[in-house]
Amino acid sequence: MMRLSHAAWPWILAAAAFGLGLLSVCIGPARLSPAELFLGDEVARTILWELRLPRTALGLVAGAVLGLAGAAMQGATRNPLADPGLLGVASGSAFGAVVVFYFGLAGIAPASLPLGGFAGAAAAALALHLLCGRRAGVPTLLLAGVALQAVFGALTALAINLSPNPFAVTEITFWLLGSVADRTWEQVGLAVPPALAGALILSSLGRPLRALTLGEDTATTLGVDLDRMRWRLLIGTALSVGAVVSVAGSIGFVGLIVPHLLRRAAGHDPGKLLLLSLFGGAALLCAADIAVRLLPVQPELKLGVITAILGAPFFAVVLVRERRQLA
Amino acid sequence: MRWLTMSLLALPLLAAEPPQRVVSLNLLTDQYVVEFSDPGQVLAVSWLAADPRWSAVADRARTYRLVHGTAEEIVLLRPDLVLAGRYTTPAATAAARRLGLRVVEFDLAEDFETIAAQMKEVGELLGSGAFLRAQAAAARLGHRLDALRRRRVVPRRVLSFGPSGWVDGAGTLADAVIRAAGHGNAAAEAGLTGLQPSTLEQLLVLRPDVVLVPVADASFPSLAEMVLAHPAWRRLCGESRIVSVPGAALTAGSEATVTAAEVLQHALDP
Repeated sequence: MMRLSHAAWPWILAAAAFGLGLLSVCIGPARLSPAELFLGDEVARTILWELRLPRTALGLVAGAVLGLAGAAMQGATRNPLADPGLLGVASGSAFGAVVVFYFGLAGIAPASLPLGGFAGAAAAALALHLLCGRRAGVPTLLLAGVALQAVFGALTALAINLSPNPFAVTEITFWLLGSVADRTWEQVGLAVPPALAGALILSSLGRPLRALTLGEDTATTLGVDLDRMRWRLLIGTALSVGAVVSVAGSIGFVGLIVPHLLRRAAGHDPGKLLLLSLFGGAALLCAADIAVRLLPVQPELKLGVITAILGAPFFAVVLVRERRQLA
Repeated sequence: MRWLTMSLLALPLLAAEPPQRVVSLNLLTDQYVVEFSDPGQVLAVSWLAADPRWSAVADRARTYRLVHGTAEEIVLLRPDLVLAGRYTTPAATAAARRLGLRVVEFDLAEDFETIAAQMKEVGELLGSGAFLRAQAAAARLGHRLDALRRRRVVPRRVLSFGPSGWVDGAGTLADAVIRAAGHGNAAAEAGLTGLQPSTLEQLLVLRPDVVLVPVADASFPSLAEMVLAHPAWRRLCGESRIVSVPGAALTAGSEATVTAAEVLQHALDP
């Protein structure tokens, strides 16, 4: 692993994401062989173009955004347990999107859906910042995250219960655990522009994050404006996470697992880790989405189930390692 | 001979003092109780019965006390007969049993024979007047089914798509409705039984001629309803007819269930 040149990693991960994307297109409940799928009749064509491709595209984009946001949050808080899911930002987005969706606003103005996700994510991120202040330790940040996740999860349940559609209650799992099944190009189109804008903001954090590894004071003397960096992190995360959660629900742990797996490949450089986590997140979420379709479970599992089962051991490992360092 | 045994068996039931404090805890029995009981005989029905989205007797049910199926309500009301669903309110039924109350549980009816049988069973439990009314209702049900059977229809493949995104396979009330209307259940033909979760890909492969959807008062956004607005669905099945039937027809068996079959048959072959 270490013998590979650092420059090769982004290409390897991008290729993995692309390959998994291709595989993902070939898998689904309508058991069609690749030949039938690509050369078949109108049914096969529709399944390919209107169901499998938007699903795969959204899975790749959501994974990329969550991986990137996780890497940026971990770098900025210098805390390996930061993740948009664990810290409540994704739950905030889900709450914003649920309010907009179930009370009919999204039907009138579709763009209000990612906007709701953005508002919820921004509120959660701002609350996190206010609760933890500037130099939050690992326990403070995690406790605040637990609190926010609980509050926004409860508010999401409340909003769905109060919504005019009595059957909405059964759909809460989508918002709490996430899924990219049966999504449309329209939804992909709604999510991609803000996700891209947020991702660009987050990708530009490489230099300040690198400087921050030397400590806050050194970073400041190197000319890094820490407040500005925090605002960029907040807006970039809220835009990108809010956008994907508003159409795919909140999917946890991607932002925790991916940077953790790739930190050595990035040579412990939080700047390089950003791009690697973007591709790595896309590949991981795509793989999770392939898994939910291959597992013989009906109704299909939500993505968050897979990512949490994968992510929990990582969480434990990081926690134990942190504890050793603190002791 | 069989007739004689049946009458003799029914005799003690009909002769016994009819219950005067009846509580129904399930929409299924609510609808029968509201239809057949004598005035003043029923203490309470479930809150679901008063909601027109799934109850065929919502207007009349509103005049009763409504319960939410908790054990506490049963203890307070002290009924002399509790009618309940087999699985829906276990705590309340257990409490009623502990108090030594008479509890009769019913399974959700999934075909018209069971609906008719349950009507008569509830009528019998409520007393002689109720039994006559229940018998008349069961007979009406039979006549209406006969009328449906007599009409000639072009058989179509119908898919029943529920509001939570599930489809009705064989052995469901919707399946009975589709068959009573003279059509075929596309989900049952594909081997599905009971209520089944569905994905859009599976629905596209089924390609039904007609989609049967229960309709509530008004439509509000839900992820499940977005399925029928999905571009993939519109492209392949945009031609398929959508027939909406009253929501109350498919939630629990009643005379309204046969209305759904009539609506379906008349919509397709006017």
